[in-house]
Amino acid sequence: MAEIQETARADGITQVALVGKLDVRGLHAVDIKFHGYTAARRKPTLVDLTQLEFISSLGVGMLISCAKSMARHGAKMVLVNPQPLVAEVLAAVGVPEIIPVVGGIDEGLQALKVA
Amino acid sequence: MKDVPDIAMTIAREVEAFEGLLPAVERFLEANAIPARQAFLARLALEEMILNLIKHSQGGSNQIDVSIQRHPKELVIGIEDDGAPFDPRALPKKRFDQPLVERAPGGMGIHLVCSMMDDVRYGRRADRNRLEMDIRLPQ
Repeated sequence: MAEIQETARADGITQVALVGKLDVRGLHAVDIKFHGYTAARRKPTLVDLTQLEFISSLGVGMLISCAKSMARHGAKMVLVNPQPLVAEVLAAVGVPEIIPVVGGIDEGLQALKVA
Repeated sequence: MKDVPDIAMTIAREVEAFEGLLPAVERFLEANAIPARQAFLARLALEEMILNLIKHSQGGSNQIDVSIQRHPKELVIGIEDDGAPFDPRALPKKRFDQPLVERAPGGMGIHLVCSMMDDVRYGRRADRNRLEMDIRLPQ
């Protein structure tokens, strides 16, 4: 199962963490909420993947779909600190080429400022 | 010697049935002390290929046979169904070089399986598709 945890920020940036397993069951649990935090808000967003243990193509599709919707409105998503196997999945389908993947929150903030 | 029996189950071609299979898969992986990388790949192979069948398979009955065998050097995941012939290895290579605004979020699952498993074999016998995916175990 998966869940979303939001970290409150005062700088207008959304920071959310995806936790658990983003498989078909996890997607059902977080999909609508994640769209709400990202595509619906249309604000620069850090998605912390530190505690994400698993991701399948359904989960990758959710990330791409929301990042794409945000990009249409000039907002950027940055993925932060994926575990090695999650990073391997993201790399296998070219995610780092379209959504920046960085090692930590500070680096993520920098990537959002460069946008 | 095997620690726990291999998995051999028949499930309905439905998402709920796939979700019902997962606890048995987790028990198998844990009881066999399958390392994190290989367990991750096993979960990935099962989810991508079974959900693909549920979404796209045409014809045949409503059943999918699923097996996981632990051999000394690898895990072998088998998925068998009697739908229309479908060799996932024969699909055109998916392109992942489009810019974000042009990227479709679908079509990644089979690419992930074919690129991350150690071997993927397909055969058609007696009007049934048989897909086997190998995941090498550390020696």
